[in-house]
Amino acid sequence: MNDELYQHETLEMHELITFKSLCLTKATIMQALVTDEKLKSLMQQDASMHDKHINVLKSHLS
Amino acid sequence: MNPLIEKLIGVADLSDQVIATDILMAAKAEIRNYAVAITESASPEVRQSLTQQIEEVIHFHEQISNYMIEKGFYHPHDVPKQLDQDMHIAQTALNLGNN
Amino acid sequence: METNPLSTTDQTIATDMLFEAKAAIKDIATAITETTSKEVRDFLTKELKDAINQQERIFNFLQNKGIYHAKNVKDQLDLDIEFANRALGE
Repeated sequence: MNDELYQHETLEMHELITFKSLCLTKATIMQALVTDEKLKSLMQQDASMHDKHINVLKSHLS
Repeated sequence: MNPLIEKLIGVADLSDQVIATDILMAAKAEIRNYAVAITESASPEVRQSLTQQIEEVIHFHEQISNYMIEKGFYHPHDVPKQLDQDMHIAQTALNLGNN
Repeated sequence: METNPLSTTDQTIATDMLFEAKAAIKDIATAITETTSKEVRDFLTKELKDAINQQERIFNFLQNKGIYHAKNVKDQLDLDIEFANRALGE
């Protein structure tokens, strides 16, 4: 774990990572259930945003 | 197929709305979570990443809420209409649980 | 700790429920601070109690399944990253 990070900061980032992992999973799975194309593309955008963000957050923690 | 999903698809005109609402609520919660995390951040690199990410989530929130307003799923400027619709959605959810 | 582990799907749904319960507690608490009527305040206070009980139930469930190590931070952090990696499809 990165020694530069404070405990509070680390815990907040983990909370964010867990929440965003849920968002990513839901956005990915629920894309298959929606019928509107615009909504589908918004959900794709949402999923790739979470993917990118989780990777950045992880890089701060390692 | 999962019986709950079957039920949801049975109310297909609602399922897009339910999913969009879930995404909207998640974006709102996320903005709050980021704001709290930023107040706990001590290292400049983390603060910078979180600030950049919260801006992207705020931008996404704008897009999903505009989408829902366009679709008539969301009426932030018409409170009585929004309340009516919320009651309708709550009733649909209650019906899903009951049968 | 129970021996039969949770499937990824069950863990995802249970974690979603936990986060919903946490959000509900915060939302209800905020609403209580905005209310002016005794009736609404009493109702929301009861709702808040229910939400706290629900959060406890779902948290205990996850803890019994070995998914929450609230008392061991290092283990918890490792599990969180594992969960994130599964969401990332890694």
